Amino acid sequence: MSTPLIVFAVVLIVGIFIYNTLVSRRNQCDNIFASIDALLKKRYNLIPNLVTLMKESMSYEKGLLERVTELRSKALKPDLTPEQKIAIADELAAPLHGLMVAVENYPELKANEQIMQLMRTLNEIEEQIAAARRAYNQAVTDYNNAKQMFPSSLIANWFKFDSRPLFEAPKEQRENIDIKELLKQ
Amino acid sequence: MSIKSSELLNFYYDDLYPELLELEKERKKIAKSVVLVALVVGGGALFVIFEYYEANFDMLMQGGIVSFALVSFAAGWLMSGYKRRFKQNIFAKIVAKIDPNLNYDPHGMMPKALFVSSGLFESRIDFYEGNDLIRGKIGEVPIEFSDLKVEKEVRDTKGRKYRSTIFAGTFIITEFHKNFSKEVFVYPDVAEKYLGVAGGWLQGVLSQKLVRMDSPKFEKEFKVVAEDPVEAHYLLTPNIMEKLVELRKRADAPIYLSFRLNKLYIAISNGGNWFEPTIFKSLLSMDTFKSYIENINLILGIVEELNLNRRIWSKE
Repeated sequence: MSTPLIVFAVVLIVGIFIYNTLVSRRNQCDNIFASIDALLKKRYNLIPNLVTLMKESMSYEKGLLERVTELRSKALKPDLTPEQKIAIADELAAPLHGLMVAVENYPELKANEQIMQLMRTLNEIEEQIAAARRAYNQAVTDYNNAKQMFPSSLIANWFKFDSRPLFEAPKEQRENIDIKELLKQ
Repeated sequence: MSIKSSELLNFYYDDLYPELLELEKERKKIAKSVVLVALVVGGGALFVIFEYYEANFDMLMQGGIVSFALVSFAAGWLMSGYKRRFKQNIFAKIVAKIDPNLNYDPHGMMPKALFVSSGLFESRIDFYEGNDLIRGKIGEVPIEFSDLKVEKEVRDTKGRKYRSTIFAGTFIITEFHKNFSKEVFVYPDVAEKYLGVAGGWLQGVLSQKLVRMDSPKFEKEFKVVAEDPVEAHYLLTPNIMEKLVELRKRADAPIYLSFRLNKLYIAISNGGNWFEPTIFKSLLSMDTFKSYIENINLILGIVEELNLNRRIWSKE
């Protein structure tokens, strides 16, 4: 075999390898985003129950309850972009957090095992969402690095690999809701 | 669990010192005997080799191996009574002092099935031994650990059999406060530690299941293998990763973890001598005494530090 042919073959193999790596990293981002989406849905499914159970007792937090319900229906609209989904989820974090804290002021709610169970589940899902976002951001960072670094940047540009956005968690979501304190009271 | 240092000193002098003095005498005698045996065996081996065989490298190597085996065997025999006394009269008291709820069995060990179910090491095991089983509860969380020596028989290129170590160290099983359905494994990271970025890249290429975590410090020490990256991030929170890096530093030994079958398995590859009496170092030294306490506390601390005590989640 002549030298140019060997060089060409090596370049081709390396090229295919880099292309496949880029595809698998991009798929990884999308897979993890699908997990975030599924977790957010799980969270939205809990809300109607929670609101119904709390409405009776919570006289002062009507505003919070309404806001949570409103954001939930907004989030369940079809055809939202990933950015919109995350934005709504972030917007929901504050009133939801508010509700969880507000439970503290209602002894009858804290005595309700059903509500406490819901709170625990909600707390677990919040943690899972936070974890999924971390996993997603890490995957996007890896993908973007591969996309920007030479020589894989050549192939990424050639085949027009599009970027994926990073979703930094808002501050109130990073501070975990301390349900332990809540249950201790 | 945490004992004040003044209390520790009282405990050392009131409860252990008289027995330690006795044991120290015994230790000195044994150390002398072991040295004597080594000299006799080593000298004898050299004499035989030079007198009756050709003194080439291969011969000397074989003589060395046989002598070492003989001396180890003799040392084990000489030390057995001393070890037993140390464990019954000293180590058992130390364990009880740290936490009276802990149950210590010097001859007990982690069952083989549990070691295998960790999924951390290969399951073809030919030799399985262990001792110093400690069980108990930290708060509500059960914990169990023992020293283990796990080996398999392999043959070298010349067909000679020898034992190859699969794991030697302290093996710990405890519960984890979070629900998880998929397995997550944490291994010491050799590639990234020594090869840096290139090592990390190589790992990514070689293994599809490798999950990159979002803590550079953690990534430098460990590698994570998991089916689901979300699950890995869920179990390994930033806080837990920080604690594991710290544990790695303090234990000064490779650490393996697996989250599997609703349990957390931790293997500290420390050689398995954390709970053994010294032989060539004074038993009376405060450092020796402290190291026993520190090592147990390190293990019990894992449970606390990994927040396993917070059983407030939906897992009942």
